[in-house]
Amino acid sequence: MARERSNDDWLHDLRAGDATAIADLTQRLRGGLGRALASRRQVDDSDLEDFAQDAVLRVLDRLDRYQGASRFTTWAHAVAVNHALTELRRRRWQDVSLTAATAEGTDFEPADDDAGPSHVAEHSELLQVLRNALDTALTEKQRTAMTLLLEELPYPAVAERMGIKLNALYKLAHDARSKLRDALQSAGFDDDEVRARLAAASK
Amino acid sequence: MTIDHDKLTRLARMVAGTRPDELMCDQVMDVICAYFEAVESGAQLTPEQQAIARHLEACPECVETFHGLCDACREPGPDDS
Repeated sequence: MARERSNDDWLHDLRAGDATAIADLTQRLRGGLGRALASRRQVDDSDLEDFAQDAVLRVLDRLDRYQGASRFTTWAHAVAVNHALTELRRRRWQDVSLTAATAEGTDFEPADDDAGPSHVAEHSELLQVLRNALDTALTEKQRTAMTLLLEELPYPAVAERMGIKLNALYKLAHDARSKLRDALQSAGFDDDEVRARLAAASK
Repeated sequence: MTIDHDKLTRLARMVAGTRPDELMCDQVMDVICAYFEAVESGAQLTPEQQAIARHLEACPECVETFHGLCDACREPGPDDS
């Protein structure tokens, strides 16, 4: 069983290149990744080993970024989980080209507007306004970004495919959401109303 | 590409959580560990941590990372002690 270390112990031992500390960290992150990714069928033991090894290298490379705001092991787990999820998202989308993802523009699946409970109709009304705003309120670049992000393409992959920096993408997406929010509010859907309709529709 | 009903619903949730001064994903990743420990301990959230909570309401990607962190940190087994 690995020995318990304080935050300072971890930093000291890892900075010193202590092989036991590195092995303990690898084991700990491997276990954490196993729990975090347990429900993902596409992840096998070999992936977990690779993710853990990569995570340890990242942690060692970033020790100076740890500022003591949390337990060291929490921070290390966050580095590992973030890296693994980013890699899994990248794998999922690496074969999908930006052209293929957006070539046909943003078609929308018709809403089910058949007569039904009133909250269903109200939900459809909200989504219809949102659909229209996507088409009319956003720039082409913003629409492309939002379309890809809604496909759960990770931010780094979207930035890469759009040829922009990650921070620029964050701002682009934020500006797009702000415009959509303005459009909803102009149509009478403030944030509370949106949440209420979404909640009612999910019942 | 088709934006279906589920994606529009997700977008509506994201849009309703949009704030002029909201944290960006990279900023959330910088402070998510302290947020996790605050949530875990039941401590009162700082204003910055409340901003993280709002961001998580609107960002599926950061939520996924947060849940992954929760799983990774919970009840270490014999191999993780």
